Amino acid sequence: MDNGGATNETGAAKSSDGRETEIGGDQAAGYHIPQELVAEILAKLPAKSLMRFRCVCRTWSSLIRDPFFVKLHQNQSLKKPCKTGILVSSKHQLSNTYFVFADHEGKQSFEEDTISIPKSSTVLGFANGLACIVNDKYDLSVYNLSTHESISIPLPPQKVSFQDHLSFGFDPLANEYKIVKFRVHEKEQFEIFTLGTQKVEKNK
Amino acid sequence: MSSSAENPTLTTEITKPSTEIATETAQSAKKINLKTSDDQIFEVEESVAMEFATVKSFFEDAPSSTDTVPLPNVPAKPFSQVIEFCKEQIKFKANPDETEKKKSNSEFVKEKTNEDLVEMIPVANYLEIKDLLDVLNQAVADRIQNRSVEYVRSFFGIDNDFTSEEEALLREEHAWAFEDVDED
Repeated sequence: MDNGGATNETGAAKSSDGRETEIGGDQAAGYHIPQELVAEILAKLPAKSLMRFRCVCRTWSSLIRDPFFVKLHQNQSLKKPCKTGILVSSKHQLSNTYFVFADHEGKQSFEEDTISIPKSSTVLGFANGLACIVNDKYDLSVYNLSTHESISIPLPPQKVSFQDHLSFGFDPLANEYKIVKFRVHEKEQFEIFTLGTQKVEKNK
Repeated sequence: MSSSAENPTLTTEITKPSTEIATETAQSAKKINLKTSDDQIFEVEESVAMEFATVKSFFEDAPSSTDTVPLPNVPAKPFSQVIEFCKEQIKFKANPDETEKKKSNSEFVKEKTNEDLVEMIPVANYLEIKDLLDVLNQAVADRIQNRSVEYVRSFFGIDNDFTSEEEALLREEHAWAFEDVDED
């Protein structure tokens, strides 16, 4: 009951061993916020802050990457008024295609959150803040518009050609991102690729 | 009009026949003693104490208890601020006004130091005061959102356990996230 861990500077100095922190992670009185509450706080932050705070310490770095946290953050973000993203591209061959964002009140400067995507790219689709992009060499990549991160998607088994039509989407039931490929003139034939797996579904 | 103002007990007398209200009035006057981890005893109105889910369930288990309730994880300093918050909250229970409540909540956190917030969070968590916890978590998030990594480390009392090479690499990887950060 005499939980000497209360190390508040005001008055409570009477406990001589006031700096004792043996109580550890268990509801430490005084200075430390329990880990599960740190997650609750961080989940309220925008992605930009989180990318910066990965540098705080190893625990935070792995927490921010943890799938459980990502889900928690996504749920929090859905409660907020969403940002509007606009895809700006130019017909000029040499100019970049890029995204600009404004928050719901138009407060954010348009330039601030600009994300450049490679030249001559086309956006196949958006899902949960991810954009799937294909360049003129038919290389696919997925951009996370919040964290400014991207990964390239190796599409098995044969390369995509100009005759193929591609589309990107999210399956909320299976919690999977998918790319659908079909030939322009043979719409009854298509293939579905599931991201993060080797799975290819064909319809024949 | 003026006669009722002169005699404020009149209205009470009118409502008295309803036994339900009578008991409620009697109960709201009831005080509960709560003892903090640093052995300070707080005499709190029952209606305020019932805002603490932890205390509430204590009385649900032992309804007739008149003992002082020990709060082993709660130091006096943050606890007095938590009580301050709950007293305000109760007003909005009788008279819900979301805008006023938000205003009151933001005023509550505005005048608190970072240390106050950090100390109250474990207390609000232990006492299971969900509204307060939400308000505090949001306040902390607002205060650190545009701050530097160094500021956040000192806010949370965290030691940097990265090597300087590792940290440099992480910073390089997300260089854009370090732009437009507030001065410490």
